[in-house]
Amino acid sequence: MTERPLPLALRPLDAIGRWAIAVVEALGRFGTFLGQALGTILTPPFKFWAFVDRIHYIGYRSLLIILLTGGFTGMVLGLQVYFTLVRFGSEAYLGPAVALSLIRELGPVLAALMVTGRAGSALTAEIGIMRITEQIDALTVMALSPIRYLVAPSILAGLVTFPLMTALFDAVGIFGGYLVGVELLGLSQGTYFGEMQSFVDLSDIMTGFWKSLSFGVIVTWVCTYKGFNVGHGAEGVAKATTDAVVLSSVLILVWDYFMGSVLP
Amino acid sequence: MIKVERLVKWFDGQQVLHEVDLEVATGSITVIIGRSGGGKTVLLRHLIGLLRPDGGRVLVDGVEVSRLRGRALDEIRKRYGVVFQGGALFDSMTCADNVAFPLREKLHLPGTEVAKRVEAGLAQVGLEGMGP
Repeated sequence: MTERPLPLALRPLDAIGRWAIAVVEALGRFGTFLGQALGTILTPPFKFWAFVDRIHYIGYRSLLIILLTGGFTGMVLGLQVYFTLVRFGSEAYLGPAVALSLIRELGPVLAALMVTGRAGSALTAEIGIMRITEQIDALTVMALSPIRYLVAPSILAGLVTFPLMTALFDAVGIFGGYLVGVELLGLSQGTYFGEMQSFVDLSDIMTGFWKSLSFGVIVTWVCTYKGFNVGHGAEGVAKATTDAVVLSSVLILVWDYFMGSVLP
Repeated sequence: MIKVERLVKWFDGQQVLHEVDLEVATGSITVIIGRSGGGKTVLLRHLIGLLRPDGGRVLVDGVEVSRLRGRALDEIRKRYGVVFQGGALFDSMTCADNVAFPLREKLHLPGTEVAKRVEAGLAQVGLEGMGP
């Protein structure tokens, strides 16, 4: 029996309905994937060496880019904030301004974006290539869970490395601000660090910590999901990699806003 | 025995398997031949539970593979030996590590036993000395 064609006036509604169902289905698959990964993290056997390997892959290999971007972000902040504060005669507050901007906001966000560009894209490409060359199917057929070997260690490594990368970004950034503010523009060292100590408290550091922790999950979740559900051939891997970086970056910024609104 | 009954599979609105019926008796050798894109791989992927059918069923010794999930499916899969079209070797591992991987992860053999079996396995295909 063939279906009767829809009246012309109802076709846009039909298309919207199909699109909405597809979106809900995709979100469901996305959520189920994270649920499976978290379930796997919490149940033995733990793949310790795969976890160590992922820390090296996501964290250690991103060190250089974190040091470079952290340093220059702090230097730019130091320069711009100094010239703004000078107008109000408040250049003594350069230290806290640089530190608070980095610790609460720029550190977690920029470190996450940098790690996404460096390690997230590589993660998607690696898993995507494993998918199209049937390496993931080979694991499945051996009755070994690909989620346990490929996804869970990456998400766990994201949880560990993102806060560490962020802390490093913040520290190097504050030093970059010091270089410009103190060494270049002549602010006293005591003022830079003394005021910073008075203004920055534990809640600021915890705000940055919670953000970086959640970014660690978001980036590894999105990037492994996209790799796992890659399309066909080299073109599929290229598309998945681009999608992973774009989606991770957008989610980082969106989630940063919500975290910023909720956290003290 | 492997039995396939009225197996149907669609991909993006295109029917790839049209009510396929097949019986493979225990101990027999069966060859599936067909043109490229004809659905041979899709059929095999159903047999090992990598794809779920849109219609029909796959039975292995009377157990319906297409309905199994989790551990029950893993138990059936442990009885399969599959050689994938492109080899599906783990390209991040050495030749020896590829041979050692299932011995370590599935059979949980001790390191010395794994090394011994890897050497023996590699020697069988003329790759002696490629072991750890």
